[in-house]
Amino acid sequence: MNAIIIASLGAIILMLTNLFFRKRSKLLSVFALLVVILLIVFNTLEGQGLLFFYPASLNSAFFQFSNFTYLFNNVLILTFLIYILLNKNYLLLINPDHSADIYALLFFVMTGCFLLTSYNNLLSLFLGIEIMTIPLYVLAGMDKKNQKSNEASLKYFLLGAFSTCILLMGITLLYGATGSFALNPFNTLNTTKLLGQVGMLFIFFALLFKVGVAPFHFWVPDVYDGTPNVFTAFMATIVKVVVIIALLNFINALTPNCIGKSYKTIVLFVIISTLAIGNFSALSQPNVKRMMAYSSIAQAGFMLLALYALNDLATQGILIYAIVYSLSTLTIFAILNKFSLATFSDFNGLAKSQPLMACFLTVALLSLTGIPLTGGFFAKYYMLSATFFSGGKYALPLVIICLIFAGISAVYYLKVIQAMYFTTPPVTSDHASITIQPLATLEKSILLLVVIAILFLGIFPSIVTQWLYF
Amino acid sequence: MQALLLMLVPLLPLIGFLYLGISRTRIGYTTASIVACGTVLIAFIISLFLFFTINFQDNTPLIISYFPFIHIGNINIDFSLQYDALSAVFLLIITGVGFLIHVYSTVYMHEEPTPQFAKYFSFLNLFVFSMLLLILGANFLILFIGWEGVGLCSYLLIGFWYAKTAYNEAANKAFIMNRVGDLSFLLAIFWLLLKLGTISFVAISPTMLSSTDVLGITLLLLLGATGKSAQIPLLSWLPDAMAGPTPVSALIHAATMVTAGVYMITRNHVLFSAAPFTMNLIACIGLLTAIYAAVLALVQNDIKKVLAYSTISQLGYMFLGLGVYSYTGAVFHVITHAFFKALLFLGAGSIILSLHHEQNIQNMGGLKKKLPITHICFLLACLAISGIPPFSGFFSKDEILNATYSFNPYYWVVGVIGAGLTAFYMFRLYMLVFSGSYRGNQEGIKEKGWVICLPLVLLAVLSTFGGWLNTPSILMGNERLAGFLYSVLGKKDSTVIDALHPINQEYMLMAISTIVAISSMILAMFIYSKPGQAIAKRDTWQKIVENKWGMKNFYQRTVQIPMTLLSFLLAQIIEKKFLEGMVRSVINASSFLSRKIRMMQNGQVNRYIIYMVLGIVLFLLFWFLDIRIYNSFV
Repeated sequence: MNAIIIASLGAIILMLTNLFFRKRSKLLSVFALLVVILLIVFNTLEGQGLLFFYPASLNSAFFQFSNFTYLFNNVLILTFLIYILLNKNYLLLINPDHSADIYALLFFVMTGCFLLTSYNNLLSLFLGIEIMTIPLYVLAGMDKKNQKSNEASLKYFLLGAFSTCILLMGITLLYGATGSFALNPFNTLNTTKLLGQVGMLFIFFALLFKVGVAPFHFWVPDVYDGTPNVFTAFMATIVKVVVIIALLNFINALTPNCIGKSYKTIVLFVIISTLAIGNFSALSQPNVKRMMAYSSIAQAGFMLLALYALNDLATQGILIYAIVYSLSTLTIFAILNKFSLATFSDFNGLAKSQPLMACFLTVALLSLTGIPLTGGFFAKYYMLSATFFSGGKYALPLVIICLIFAGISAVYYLKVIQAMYFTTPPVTSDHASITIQPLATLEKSILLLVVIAILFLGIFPSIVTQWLYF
Repeated sequence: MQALLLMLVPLLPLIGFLYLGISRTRIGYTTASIVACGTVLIAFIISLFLFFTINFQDNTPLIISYFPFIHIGNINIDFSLQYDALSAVFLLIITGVGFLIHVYSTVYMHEEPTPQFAKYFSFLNLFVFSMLLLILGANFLILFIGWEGVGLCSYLLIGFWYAKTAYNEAANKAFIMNRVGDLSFLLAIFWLLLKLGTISFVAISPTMLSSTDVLGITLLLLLGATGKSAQIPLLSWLPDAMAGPTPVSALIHAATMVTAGVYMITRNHVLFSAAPFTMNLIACIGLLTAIYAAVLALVQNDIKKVLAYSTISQLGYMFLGLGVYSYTGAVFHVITHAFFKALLFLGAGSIILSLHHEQNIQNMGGLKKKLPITHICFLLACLAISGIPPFSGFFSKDEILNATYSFNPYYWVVGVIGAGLTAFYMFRLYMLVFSGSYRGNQEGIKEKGWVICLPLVLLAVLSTFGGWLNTPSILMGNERLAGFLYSVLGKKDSTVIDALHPINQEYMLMAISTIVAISSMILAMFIYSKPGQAIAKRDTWQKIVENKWGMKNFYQRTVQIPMTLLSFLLAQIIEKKFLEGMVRSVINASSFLSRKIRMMQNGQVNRYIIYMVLGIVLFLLFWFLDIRIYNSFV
């Protein structure tokens, strides 16, 4: 609760500061960092039982806070902190006249995220989704003079509006079937009641759209590609994992009886087609950023395994997966920021010219591939073993298929590493046109910490998961 | 407090490794030496402190769990260390002998440029860390991490002078042969995990396993042990491993790493004791290896090769000890062997260093006067390894042979013959190196200072008096080691043996092996008193043996040729025609699919919406049809 209130207050104050800080100002990022630190402190305190602004009546009606909520909120806030530290200069560069607005919008998105981790009611779900996505439409188009950015914004808005319709439709139908917006009464919902079934499925599909998995993934490549780099990093990490958690909460709130047995088959189909589309498309992308868009689709496919397994192991797994995936992706995007263009050939010989950058990028890519000793390995391992132990005759084939696709994903991740370490850059004059800025000291140290964290999780994954139970 | 101290023991060398590895280009000889030796010395002091403060007599070992390591599903493995009498003994050997060898290395490696020097010590520290982890691990996983770590360090240090191709090949050989053993070791661990759900040593008990399981697991573990301890069939890497610097041979390939197999079997003695077939096999492997390697050692001309074969042969004795249920004897031999073999290698290193890296014993001789300290120490070590009373080797070997006699007298006969061979080749080596006149052509040969000599002297003292650790009761000893290890190994095996055969018999056995050892020693001294003639003779004999008893051909026939044929078949036919085609078609299919899927992504929003609606409709249809069908059945 504290997190929601502080994030929205911070956003409102930041919005007002635009009156005073018209130019790029260091003060903005300092203030933003201050709010983030407040968020961490208050969220942790609340997790320990210290409550501030806490209207008791809200608790069961709209929100429900559990250990997992607080832990995940902290993960989100820390990711957000790393995100700001890595990107603060670029956030000011995108649109200098509106840098305060950008920060305000980011904090609004965070508010939506906190709503989504704790909602207990279809209304708060809807509010969360909207508070989260509407600022994102704006952020996607923030680079106003860039046509691609505008196009991305428009597409995102149109398709997002469509999915919102489906979400609203689903909520309406469910309300019609149960007469309540609360999530708990669904437990008694009659499985055969058509209205309830369709409503539940519609909400499910709308959330799948927000995650960006097949067959609702079409917006992802176009939007990620057109959106300025810094916001792509934000959308691909924090926003994506939050929606998956929201989805998981939604499914967990329904009884197994209510989801029915077709549910698993549908999830199975979604996972396999997502992995297939994500991986196969990523294979032939000439541009690393677009490759990352498809790779994020494929990674989301892996995270959806939690929706298939629906057990304790899956909860631990999704936590680790969310952390590792976010850290790795943030690292990669922080480095992509340094490139004016990011085709595979631009990475040629990076290990010689920028050894540290190449090293960070390598660890992040290996982690996304799922190579042991990086956190990505255990993330995938947890998800797959959760699936395996969930039982059912499709569990084992699904695990095998996922492994095959993880193998395929190695091709495009390793292509970058291969370019960096084993290809020499062209000596021709067009080398001058490729500009790679070096990492700043702050970025270097943050990235170093992030990379160490990734490796650490690859050795001691249980350090994180044991927080779930204390 | 104990937990912290115990953790520090392996942690310190790790810190040393990290520091030296990271800053190897920035630090000088002095810093590198101090850090490398200092970390091991502190580890040794802590080990001593633990040794004297902990009471080993209660039967529950000190197991400290530091943090959850792998907790997934129903597999719960903690990062935990186990400290009991057995690990205490090994801890002292590794840190103690390791420290001496570190000190020795500071002079031995001084010719290297600084980064290389620091790199050498970082590897050495990493080795000590891995070895300590291997010894202290409370479950198979930690042990295996150490096991792999020492293998890696062995590889790195054998190929330390990587500019020479032959050295690289030796490193590769060691690594690959060990890999065979490691695979089997890993399979055994998985098997245990599958059947018991736990791999911590205290929880493993043969009563929870069927006899087939016990047999299979112990056989796999045995193969793993033979790889690390250079026993038949995985032994040929050790002689080649002498390519590494001599202190490395002393530390890794004589005193510590190669005894890991013995340690592992001793650690799991409960499991092994439940598999009589495996035990018999261990004894046979040990005997065969002991004899085979001893005969090969007779004709080697490289001083380090002689010692390498002798190491294999002595490891064979340790395996024999294990196989005849004399675990204390095996551990005792590990200890004494660590003393005298490290001493022999360091002595050899001193000789090699003084002769500017000359290793051929044909070009030595008469070094008695020129290297007096080395000479005395080397002589003591030779006496110890040959089993001449009252030097340490006599007691440990005698304990093993005694146990062998009561297990199977025929094994004992072979073992005594091996002991005779040992005395023979050791004194051949001694005579060729130290007596007679100098046959080489180098001037100004002298010892390289006290840093080289001090470890030699200390080890010589230990080799001489080490036998007192476990003097048998019939020689007025009190069998201290057996009593000490009682809490781990359970029964005091030598007392059982005492009951089996009368004391007179034990005296007799002792006398026979002593007579055999002394007579072969005298024989060797007699034959090689005039080395020139002795070397010229015995050509045919030498040829047979140098061919490694046809073992090379044997490997060629049984392994290499079928492998070549198989690889030809796989490479030329299956790979070219079948796999390559398959891979190619996978690539083609992927890129085809990739293109097709990209076509769907054409940038038009209305198309996207149509696809999505189609998706939703299909899902809904599927959902309701499925439920309909399901309901009609239920």
